[in-house]
Amino acid sequence: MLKKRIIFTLLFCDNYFVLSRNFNLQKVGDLQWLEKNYNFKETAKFIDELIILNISRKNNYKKEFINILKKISANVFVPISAGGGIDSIEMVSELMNSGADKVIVNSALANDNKLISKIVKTYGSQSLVGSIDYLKINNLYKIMIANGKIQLNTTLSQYIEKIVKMGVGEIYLNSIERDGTGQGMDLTIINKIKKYLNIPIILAGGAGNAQHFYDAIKNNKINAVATANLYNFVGDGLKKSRSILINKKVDLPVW
Amino acid sequence: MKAKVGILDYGMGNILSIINALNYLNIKSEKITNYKKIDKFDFIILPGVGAFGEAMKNLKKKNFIEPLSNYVNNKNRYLVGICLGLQLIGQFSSEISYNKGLAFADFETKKFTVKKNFPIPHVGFNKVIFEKKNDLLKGIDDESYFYFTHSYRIKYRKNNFFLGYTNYIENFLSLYVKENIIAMQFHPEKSQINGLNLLKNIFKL
Repeated sequence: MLKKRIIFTLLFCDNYFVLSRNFNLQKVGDLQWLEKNYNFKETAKFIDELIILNISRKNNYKKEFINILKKISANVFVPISAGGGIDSIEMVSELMNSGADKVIVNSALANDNKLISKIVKTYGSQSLVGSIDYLKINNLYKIMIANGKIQLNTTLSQYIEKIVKMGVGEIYLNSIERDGTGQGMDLTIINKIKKYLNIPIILAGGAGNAQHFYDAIKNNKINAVATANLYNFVGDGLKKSRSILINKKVDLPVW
Repeated sequence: MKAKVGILDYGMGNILSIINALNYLNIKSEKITNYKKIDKFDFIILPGVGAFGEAMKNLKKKNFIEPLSNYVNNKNRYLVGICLGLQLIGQFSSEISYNKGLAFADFETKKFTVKKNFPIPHVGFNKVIFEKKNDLLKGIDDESYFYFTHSYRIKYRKNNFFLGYTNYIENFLSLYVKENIIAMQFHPEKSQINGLNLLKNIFKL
């Protein structure tokens, strides 16, 4: 049987790694800082996948991001998805040639059908993760693009149906309200959408400890949980969480 | 003399990930971008992240197909297929449309059977069951986890060259070894210590 996944997301903004809380960013450190506080080579042995997103706001810091991706991927032997501001097939190729195994797209899903179909045609659906940032407004799920700034005029179910049809291979669902709070993940959304999909779902936003992972990952529609919370999982936090989940009989691979 | 390891660069795939894993194991490798160079290697890795038809088209465009067939016919040299690289050595694939493969191996690639609650693509770590003993599997348990990401598969059947299989919806081929051809559906370069061990064993041959 296919195993569940714990994914770590690194947010890169304006040449630094950042912590995000409800999409407000706080600078935490550079690659050296990351190595020092996470011993990243070691931490990477306790995750199933890594996501690295360039959410730079001032400038695109593309060159620096590619450089970071190359450095991190040299010592990480799990799949790496990279994304943030992807607007051309050339950029996808550059990421794939710099250590990424998949790309993760958000705004382009809403804006650029042509690019999406090019990615699917060239790299296959399994290389494309569709990212959805959402907000709950009056009990309705609203989809936000462009770093959470622009609200789309479509329902969540319509949008998911659309992007699945376009060939997205997985969906990364990120709750803006839960983002970075460490208060627990949004467990309600999966029931709203499960009938629309037959592709893997990665749930993100709100995990602050192993129990939060557990509450989400035990749902049979949730294939993976992701956290970008650098502070709550500092040091050997991910290693500990993984062993807690394995003890709780969560179906994670063992190496 | 040290074995020369080349990675076929036909514009598709996570080549850097493979180079990174080999570097970590202290195995020197280089990209092969010109078909004239194929003959110089003792090991050639056929990587692949992408769609089958597109991959065959690119292999043709780079004139890789004939030199690669000649290369494989010399049994002292190894061809190592990864993911799409496994599927490409088969007869054909029905991915997107019907496309002929390199035909080094007697199998074909088709879409997974659709089943409720089994999302496609098949993404993540899954168990590989190694049915036969082989030097390549030294230090690796008979049932071990490797990382997969694919929507098409080769149906498993009892066969001397089908060394390992994985179950997802159905049993499918995950490790194929015939003479100098070694090919796998999973990504050893993305499979933590199990994958690194397998790569180490392959390049010790």
